Amino acid sequence: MIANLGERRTEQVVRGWMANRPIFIDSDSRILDTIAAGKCDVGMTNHYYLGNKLKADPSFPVKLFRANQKDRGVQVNLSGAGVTANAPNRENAVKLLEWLATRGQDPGVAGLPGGNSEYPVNPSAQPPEVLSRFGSFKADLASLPQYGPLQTKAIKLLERVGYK
Amino acid sequence: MLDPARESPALEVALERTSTLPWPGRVAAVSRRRPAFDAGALAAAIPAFLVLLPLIGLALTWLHLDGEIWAHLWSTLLPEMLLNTTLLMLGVGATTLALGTTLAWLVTTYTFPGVKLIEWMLVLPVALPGYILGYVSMSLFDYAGPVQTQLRAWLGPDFELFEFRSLPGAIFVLSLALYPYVYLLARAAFREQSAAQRDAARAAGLSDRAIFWRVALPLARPSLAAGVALALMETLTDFAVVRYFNVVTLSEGVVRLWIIQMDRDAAVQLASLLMMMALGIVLIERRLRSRARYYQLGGHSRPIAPIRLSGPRVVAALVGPLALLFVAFGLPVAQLAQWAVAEMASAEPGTLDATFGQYLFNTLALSLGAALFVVAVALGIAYALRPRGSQAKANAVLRFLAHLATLGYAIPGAVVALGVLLLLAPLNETVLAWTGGAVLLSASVVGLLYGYLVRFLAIGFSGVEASLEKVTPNMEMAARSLGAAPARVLTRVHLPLMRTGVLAALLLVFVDTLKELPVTMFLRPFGMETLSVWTYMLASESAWQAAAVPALTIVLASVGPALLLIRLSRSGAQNNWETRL
Repeated sequence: MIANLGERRTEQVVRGWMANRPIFIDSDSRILDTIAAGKCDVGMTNHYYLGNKLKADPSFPVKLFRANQKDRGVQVNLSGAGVTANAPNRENAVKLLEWLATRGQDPGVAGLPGGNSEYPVNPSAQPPEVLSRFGSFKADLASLPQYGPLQTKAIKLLERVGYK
Repeated sequence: MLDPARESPALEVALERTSTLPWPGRVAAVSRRRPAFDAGALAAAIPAFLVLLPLIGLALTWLHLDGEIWAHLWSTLLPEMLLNTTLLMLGVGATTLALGTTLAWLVTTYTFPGVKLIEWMLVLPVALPGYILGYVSMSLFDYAGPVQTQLRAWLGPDFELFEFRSLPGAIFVLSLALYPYVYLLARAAFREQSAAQRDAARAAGLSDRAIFWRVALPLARPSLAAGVALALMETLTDFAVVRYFNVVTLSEGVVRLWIIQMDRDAAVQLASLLMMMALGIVLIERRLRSRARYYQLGGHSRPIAPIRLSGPRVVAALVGPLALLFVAFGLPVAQLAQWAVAEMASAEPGTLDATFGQYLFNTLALSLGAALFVVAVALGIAYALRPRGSQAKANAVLRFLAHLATLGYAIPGAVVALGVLLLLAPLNETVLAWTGGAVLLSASVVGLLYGYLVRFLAIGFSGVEASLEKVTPNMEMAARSLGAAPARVLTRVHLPLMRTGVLAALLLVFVDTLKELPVTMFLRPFGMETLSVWTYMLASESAWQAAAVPALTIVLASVGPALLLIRLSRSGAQNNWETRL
């Protein structure tokens, strides 16, 4: 958000959230449970927690809404992996990563994106079944490189406005 | 507390044992004057100093305070952290004091069917560390949990008990987990009071209620202060419960700054502040205790005859403790068991066995290593500092140093961990060069064991020291005059007499390490997970069902030692507990 709107505007937006007196729940899936139980109307979580809930109970009474679909697209998280300089098993590690980046992204493969209701980064891989009901969406990929450099700024901003 | 009855039978045992020693006729050696420089005392001083080093290192950071960091902390979370930490300690202190004292009074003053069972069952919650009880309680009692869902079904959709994810919720959980400390010490204190005192008070016209407030409670004050101080230290060290309950405290702040924000300098500065607060508690507790030296006349006082309850009062006496135990132990353990069974049924075949086996092995190996290491150091210090005839008072400074080294127990785990990291980090480069890049000292088993030593030396030392007191200088001199060399005196006199105390110390350090979270989380070697870290990681990701398997293992492993605590406190080992502070 800072990359797109600048720090001042972002602070205004987050202060706007705070004006709603949100409850902070240190667990995405408990946020969804609490919405389902009727205490909150909306909550912010990663989509895959809802995916997991729907996988366990297809009638789970919470709907997905993606932000900023009409302009820059929704903010996304990326999971990555690497090999450390001193890794004793470099060759196998590289093989594993290559597999993860290609065939390992198929929905049937346990524990990888398929198992956790995440979207595969490999464009040719099929997203997991449960995600089909979320439809397609626009992701904000342009600001991805700014996540690292702006992190400290973002945390300090959240601390300033009291967002936990 | 003086207990002449304790010395003489032990002495008899010792004489019996020493009289079987051979007589090689080397008595002359004993009369040789000791050198002025005492190597044994030095042997005690070095480990004691090593234990203090990380704390000294942290204290030294006050010499270069970073104004910018403090300004940012002050303008953001620091006021809230200070307020929450204070309120949390007040809440937990008051609740554990009230619960522990009332329950101890109930089981020592009255007798009713089932009192013996309840007496030891009341210790059980100590087997549930806060980071486990916290997440299970959260799942049971928060808005989306089964208890409140059921209440809404009965009382209408708008009903809400109170926001459980809050400061009162955290106080509730921590008090349930920590009241046994106050209970154990209060119970031992009430037990030691004599019937003669109560009779005198009654003859002076005091009612039972007045006896409690004006005689029993004031007499028990030092023990109550010690129990509450223990509970407060555990409160100060906790960062997991407060995180589940969304209460920003100092410990939570240190962990957040270090692990999530990777703001090293700010974490260290905040940790040093936290350390000062912990030392503050120790000082207050000492003050509360120092002027309170109460003596009871006579070594063989008549124990208090408990008052028999009957009729509805029995029901009342049973319902209170049982309800408490249901919420603090029965319900959480049942929930954990249900989750664990479901998890084992649903997990991919083989995956659970492999990870569980590996983590269990890591945990057991570390706990065993820590227990042996800590107790060995404690034995070394205690043995070197033991009173020896005319020399009894010679090493006052070293004695002070040794007791100072047991302060680590009062210092929150995250602070100890940062202290060790600060100390070891400068050595990292050197060790990396020596080992060809294989060992990062600050993230190695060495660092971890060092952290455990700082944190748990007090437990090892108090157990060992108390049992070493059973070996009087006379016994040692008798053995030496009968010709036994020092090593032989150690193996034939000291160790057999100390066996129980040393075993108890080993067990207590073992199980405290098994449950330990912050030191392990900060200092564990990369990729080396333990049951406690695994539980916390899963619980904080809300993978409650998966977290139940390691959590239940920790609870089951801790139940036995929890029961040992009640045996220890029954055998008048109260001093033992108090020196833990």
